[in-house]
Amino acid sequence: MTAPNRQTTLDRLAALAVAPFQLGQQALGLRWLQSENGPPEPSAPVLTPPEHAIKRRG
Amino acid sequence: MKTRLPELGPLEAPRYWRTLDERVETLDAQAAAQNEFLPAASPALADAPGAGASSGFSRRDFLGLVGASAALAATVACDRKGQGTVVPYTKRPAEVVPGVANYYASACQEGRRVYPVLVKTREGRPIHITGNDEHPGVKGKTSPRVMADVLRLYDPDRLRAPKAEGHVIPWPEAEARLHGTIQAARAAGKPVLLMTSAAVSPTRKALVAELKGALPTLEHLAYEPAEGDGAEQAAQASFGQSVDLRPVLPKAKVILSLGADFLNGEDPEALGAWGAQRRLQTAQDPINRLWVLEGPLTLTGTNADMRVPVAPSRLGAIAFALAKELAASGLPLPAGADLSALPAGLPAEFRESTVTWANLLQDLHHAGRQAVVLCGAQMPAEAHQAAHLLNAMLGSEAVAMVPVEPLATVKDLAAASQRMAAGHYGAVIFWGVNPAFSYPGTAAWLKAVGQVPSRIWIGEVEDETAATCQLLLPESHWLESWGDFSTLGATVLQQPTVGTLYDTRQGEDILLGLLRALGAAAPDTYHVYLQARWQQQVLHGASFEQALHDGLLRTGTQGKPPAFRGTSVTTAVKAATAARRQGMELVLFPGFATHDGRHANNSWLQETPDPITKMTWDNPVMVSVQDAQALGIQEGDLVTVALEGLSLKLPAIIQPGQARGVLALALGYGRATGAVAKTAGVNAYPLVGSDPASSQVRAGARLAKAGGRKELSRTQSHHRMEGRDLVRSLTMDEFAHHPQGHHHQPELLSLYEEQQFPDHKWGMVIDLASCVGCSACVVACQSENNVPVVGPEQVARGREMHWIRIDRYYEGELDNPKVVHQPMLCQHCDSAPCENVCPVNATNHSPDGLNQMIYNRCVGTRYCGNNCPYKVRRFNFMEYTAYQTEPGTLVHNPEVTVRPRGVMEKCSFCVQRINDVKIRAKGEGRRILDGEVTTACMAGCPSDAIVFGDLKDPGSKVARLVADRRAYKVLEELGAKPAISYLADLKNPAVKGGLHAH
Repeated sequence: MTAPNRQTTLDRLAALAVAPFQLGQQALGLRWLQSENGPPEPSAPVLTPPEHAIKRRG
Repeated sequence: MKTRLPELGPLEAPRYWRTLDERVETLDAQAAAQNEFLPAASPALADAPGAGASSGFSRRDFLGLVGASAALAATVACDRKGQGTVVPYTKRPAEVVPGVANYYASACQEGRRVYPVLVKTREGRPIHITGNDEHPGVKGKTSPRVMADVLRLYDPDRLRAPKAEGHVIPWPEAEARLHGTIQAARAAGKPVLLMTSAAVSPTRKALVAELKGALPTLEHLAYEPAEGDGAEQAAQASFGQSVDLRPVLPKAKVILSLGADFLNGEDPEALGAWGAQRRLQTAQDPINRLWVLEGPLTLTGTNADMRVPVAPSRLGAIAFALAKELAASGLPLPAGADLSALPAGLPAEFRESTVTWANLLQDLHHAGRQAVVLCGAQMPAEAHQAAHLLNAMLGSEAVAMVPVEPLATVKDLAAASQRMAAGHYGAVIFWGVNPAFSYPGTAAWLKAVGQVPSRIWIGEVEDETAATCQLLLPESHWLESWGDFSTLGATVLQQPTVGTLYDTRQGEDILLGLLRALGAAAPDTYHVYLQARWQQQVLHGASFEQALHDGLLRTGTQGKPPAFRGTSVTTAVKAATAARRQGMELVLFPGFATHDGRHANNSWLQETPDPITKMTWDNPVMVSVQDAQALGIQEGDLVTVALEGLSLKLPAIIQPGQARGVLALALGYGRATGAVAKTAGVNAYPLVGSDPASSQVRAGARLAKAGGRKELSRTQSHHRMEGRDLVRSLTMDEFAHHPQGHHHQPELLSLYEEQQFPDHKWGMVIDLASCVGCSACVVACQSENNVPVVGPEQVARGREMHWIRIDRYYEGELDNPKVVHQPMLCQHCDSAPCENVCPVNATNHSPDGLNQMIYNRCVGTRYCGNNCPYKVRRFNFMEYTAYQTEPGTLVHNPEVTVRPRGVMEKCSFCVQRINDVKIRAKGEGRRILDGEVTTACMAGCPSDAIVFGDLKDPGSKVARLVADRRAYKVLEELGAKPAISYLADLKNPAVKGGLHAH
């Protein structure tokens, strides 16, 4: 029994062949967003010990 | 799954049930019980359009998928994804020893409530929060939301640098703008409005007072939308000042709750006392009795011994009628109170059960000073005033009345809004508050704020209020900040547990800078300011360092409580007995996950099932069974809730136990900002009323079907164990005479050899009488064991990953069922059914009785999950964590493997904690002490319902409890030999045969 929503073999092959080209096109279409003061780069978290804190144990 | 509303009438229902479907055993429910995984749990089946429980999925497709999966698996297996680089410290900070956790005492606040905590850090990262064990009140416990707040530290949405008009600017420029703005306002003689959260820090209060000295035109509003305007208004009327009422449950033998949800997990002190009074060894032990009168079913209501569903607008009238009866039976009325003003006669809600009314009166009268009446924050002012009157009459010792700073009500905000619109203010500073979201008249508020020339925002994640401001100043998380708080019995210190992760400052530092700019002498940092104030006014010769180490400084008892004004009663009675408006009554309450909305961006909390409804990621409106029947509403149906020209469209759920004519809706959802927050629920704040006496209990609401349905991400029907006898609840009478009821010890025969445990045999006992179902264990486990969040769509498919869940069982009739909560986790069976079926031996038994998982051996057959009778194994259907990046990954516990896709996981009894203690004990050449190993759920449980320990040690607490008269094992008859015992729930009803002597 075949699932009612099953695609035909031809459709599947076509999708397989075309997909890489579509992906490539999308990738080429990507570009960095421009803004006046440069991109708003989120700063990476910096781990530093707490100043003046007294630890309970460890 | 579509839920059908059962017809009322005689039913052969199971004694305990979790859903309406189970109650009437619909075909859907029977099918669900048969299917191990929900119809949508299997990925391919679920994704096929129209796929149902028995989808026509062909063998060919199945084999095709298997082939493709094999090929993909082979490809993916070659990937080295996730491989990182280990780099040693070049300069190791003195405090950090790799592999060794540091613990810091600190504290935080939520509304007026203060939480003293102990924070565990690994390699400098805070990763887990528990309560401060040195604090005399909380005794090492805290709330689920505080435990989950460690995730907010690593929220990727946090603002990382100051911003002006949308552009990132350096701090000096931000400060210059702030100072210039305020100086200009001062020069122009224009007032400045400062809106903050509740003022519970004495040093912060002193700082704001100093700022007011330097800037006399400063107006300060402390705003907490979830603290309840009615409570504020009633305190002013009854005591002439703002008072915070805190239950002192160890002194209470009889508790009457007027819609007060004091067992909802927020108050670890109350939960600790509750648990202690419910851990009974014999039926002769003293036990309290909890009476609850409420509209919506609350966690406190589910733990009631006697519960009466009552519309919230009736609570005041009923409580005043109680006062009249008690006065007639000899209790003195406070001076000035007019007896004739009190309503006489039996309230309508008790007409069918006059015995209940008489028992309630008798209980209160007999308990006297050991009785207490508590009123819910959201309840109308007159109900609060009635509670104050009753407590004054009883002379209750079980409530502490603490004078506090007043909070702004909706009326105060409306006045501020009008002043803003009129151009009264030169500048406004919003610090840690979000009125643009929580003020009911949003449009008017936004228009008014726009009239203030300078708008400054201090906060962590850009919210709706930040969008209205020009200057945004990023605030440090409380785990990065200094502070102090007043609590009963101790002044608590807040210290940073990590340096600031980003270019942020704590709000107090920003105000100190402003103070200096205004010409006042002030130190450079709030740490110095705090320390100086403590040296002058708090320490009295004690050591600041020791106070930091302990997290607190013990203080004396509170002063004399404020006196009750008897003259306030007459007006309150008039309000309580006034005619009610037509329509339904809508109760707006703070969401379990979101509170007032501040936690809405926390995915741990969003995915923790609500303790009552078991909903995740949403706030459907709760409708009573009777109203749902009258309107033909089914669960998940979209409905409209209309009130005074406003209308919200949202899904409905049917809530057994909810009073007829009452609707309940959680606040804090429907946020417009925050990657997590904006996906969940509907904003109910527009329905909050403008009358502070009853702003969150609204009469005149209308409910109608809107057409359409919504798939609910609700967990209560998941992981069902086919109606077997899993949960036990006893009345005191049953406990005295038949603690094991009709159950008998099954004779267990086994073909397997008895397992031998040479050193330890770890086991657990869970006391259902102490457990209130607050879900603190769920959050503690999630934090400790890196349990992933899967999102609402996955939850709807039954794929939630929690290692421990709370099963909520109803017993009895739909309109007022009894409720029992049962934490369910891996039972670590000695003859574990899951171990036998694993084809690769990925799950097996350890020599100390742990059912362990070897993740890198697991191939994901899910046979173990199928064979587990407790339904506690969780499968990683998706890659939930591998693609996470910093800062999200910083919250992970390095001692627990982060599991990839395709792997089964489950509770490990916190094996990393067991091994940590084992290694320490071995190093010190001693045996492991009883109570030394604590699982995360045990440590997080505020009512101490969970006890873990070595069953081989006959002197251990857990070994003693296993032999308790109430002890039983779930599904013991299967012969799996679980390592977890449960102690049956206890109820102390005021009925014949159940009445327990005080």
